[in-house]
Amino acid sequence: MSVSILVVDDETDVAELFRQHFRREARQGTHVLHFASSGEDALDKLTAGIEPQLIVILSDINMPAMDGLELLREIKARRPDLPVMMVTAYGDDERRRLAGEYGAAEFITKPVDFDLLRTQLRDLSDAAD
Amino acid sequence: METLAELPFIGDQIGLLKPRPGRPRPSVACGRYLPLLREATVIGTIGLARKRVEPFTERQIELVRTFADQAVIAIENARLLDEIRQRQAELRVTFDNMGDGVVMFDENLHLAAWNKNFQELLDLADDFFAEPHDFETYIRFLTGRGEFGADADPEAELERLRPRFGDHYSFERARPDGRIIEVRHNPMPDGGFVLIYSDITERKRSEEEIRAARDAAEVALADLRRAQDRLIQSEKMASLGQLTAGIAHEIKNPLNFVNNFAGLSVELLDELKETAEPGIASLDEDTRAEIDEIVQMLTGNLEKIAEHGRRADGIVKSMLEHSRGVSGERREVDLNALVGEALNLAYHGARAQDAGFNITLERDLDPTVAPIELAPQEMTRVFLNLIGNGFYAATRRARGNGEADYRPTLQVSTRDLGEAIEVRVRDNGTGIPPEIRDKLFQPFFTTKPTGEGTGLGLSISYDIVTQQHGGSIEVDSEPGEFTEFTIRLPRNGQAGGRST
Repeated sequence: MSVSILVVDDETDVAELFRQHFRREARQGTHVLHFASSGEDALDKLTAGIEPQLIVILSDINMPAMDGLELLREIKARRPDLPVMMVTAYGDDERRRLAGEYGAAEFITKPVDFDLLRTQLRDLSDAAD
Repeated sequence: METLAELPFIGDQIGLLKPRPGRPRPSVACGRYLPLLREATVIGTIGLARKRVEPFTERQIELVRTFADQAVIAIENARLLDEIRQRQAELRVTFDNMGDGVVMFDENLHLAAWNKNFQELLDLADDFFAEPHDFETYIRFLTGRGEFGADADPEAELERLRPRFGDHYSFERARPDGRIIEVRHNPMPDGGFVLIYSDITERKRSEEEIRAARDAAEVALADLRRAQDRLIQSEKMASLGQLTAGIAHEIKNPLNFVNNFAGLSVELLDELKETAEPGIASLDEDTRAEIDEIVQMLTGNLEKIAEHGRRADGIVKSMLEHSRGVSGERREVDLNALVGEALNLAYHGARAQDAGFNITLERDLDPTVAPIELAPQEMTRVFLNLIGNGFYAATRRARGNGEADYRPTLQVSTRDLGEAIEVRVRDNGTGIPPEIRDKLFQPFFTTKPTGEGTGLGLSISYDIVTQQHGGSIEVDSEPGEFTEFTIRLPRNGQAGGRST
């Protein structure tokens, strides 16, 4: 069974970073990575429909135009059950609080601990089965 | 001068010849009138009369004319005397009503004249003036009364004054009753002199008041300047802190990429080695060795990138501390316990890093220090930083030169100042040269070798103490002797920090 992950970050190298980290999963066909370079782009992709089943969105917070927290509210308005993980370089209390308030599943500070993330994603995909 | 012949006849003006009520009209047969002349002005007439008709002789007329001249002189003298008396009275009034006391000694130095104010100003009773005085008896009298000080010698006073009789001069002196007088000495053209006494107590007092007010204003100005300097310094430090945090924010993302990709590359290289293993095994020995060497170098390089990336990440994290603002949780703590813990932590930390480290710790903790509300984690950072710096300085001095009897010592003391508490951290290490004392709290300023210190410890400590706790941090040092940091934290320390 195969699941999708959507990563939202205005830094396009983040896509490369995720691609390399999840290269085994991609090769084995268990996870499909999708990337959006802005909040608007992410919402467009969500509207267009993502295949296979989207199990989680990972979004940066600091982005031009629509920021990650705004995007989080939009996603939660459309897909309340879809887990959203917020990723940020700035782990300050205010952002952490807002992310929690808007319904984020996780609050991850950069640099991302990919081993931990992999475990969390495995739990999510197990739950999706 | 007009001649007598030209003058009009003015006999009618002579009262003697006029009939008066109750008086028999004088029976006059003939008369002659002569004018009373002062300069060219007629001031009266003088008449000559007789009961028989017969001309006056020239001699008789001449006699009357002479008499008239004398009469004019007498009348004029009487008038002048009157005028002088009046002028004198006026002068006396003026003299007595002068604000100053005036006394005149004539050419024989006799007390010749004085006014009422002189008498009052110098408290001279009427008795004093009852007998004649000269300057010497006057000075002796004043000396005897203690005017020139309790032990003054009248002869010495006179010796001092005598050579100056002919000079214009003035001086001030305090009277026994505390009043201050100014004495002006003015010689007179024909000998003798006038002394003018002025009571300048009020003037002196207002001068003193003005001086005191000016001094107070100057002190206030100096205080203001100092406060302004402190404010400018604290603003400068705050903006430096913000700048530092801003730079850190900007560097953090690219640095994350560097670290992430370096880590990934190590993994990829391992995979490459694994994947290429069978292929490489089939190659000749030299080629295999070359490939091995290159892979080894690449791995080494990536490890270096990762290592320095971690170092940079540590610096960036410290820099970001500047922007943490007042996020630190505040609660009431026992300051002595906090300081004691920090001291233990720092000591064991230093021992763990360097087994040869040793230092004498002195604790002087004021047992009366009442609990204070602060951000304990943040303040612990500050104490750790200051204590760590002290250890470093003392160790450097111990290892730097051959002082046989040098004993590295670090002293931590606390004191309750009521409205504030004070913590001092003092080491007997290398000290801080005065020329770098201003830069101590600036971000990235460090005297440690590259890699040993980021130069952020004190700047973050400064932020925590001043911005978060509204306190102050000061340094005192003597190169080669000691360094002492003093932190004062106000009890009502409003967190004035910024948040990002």
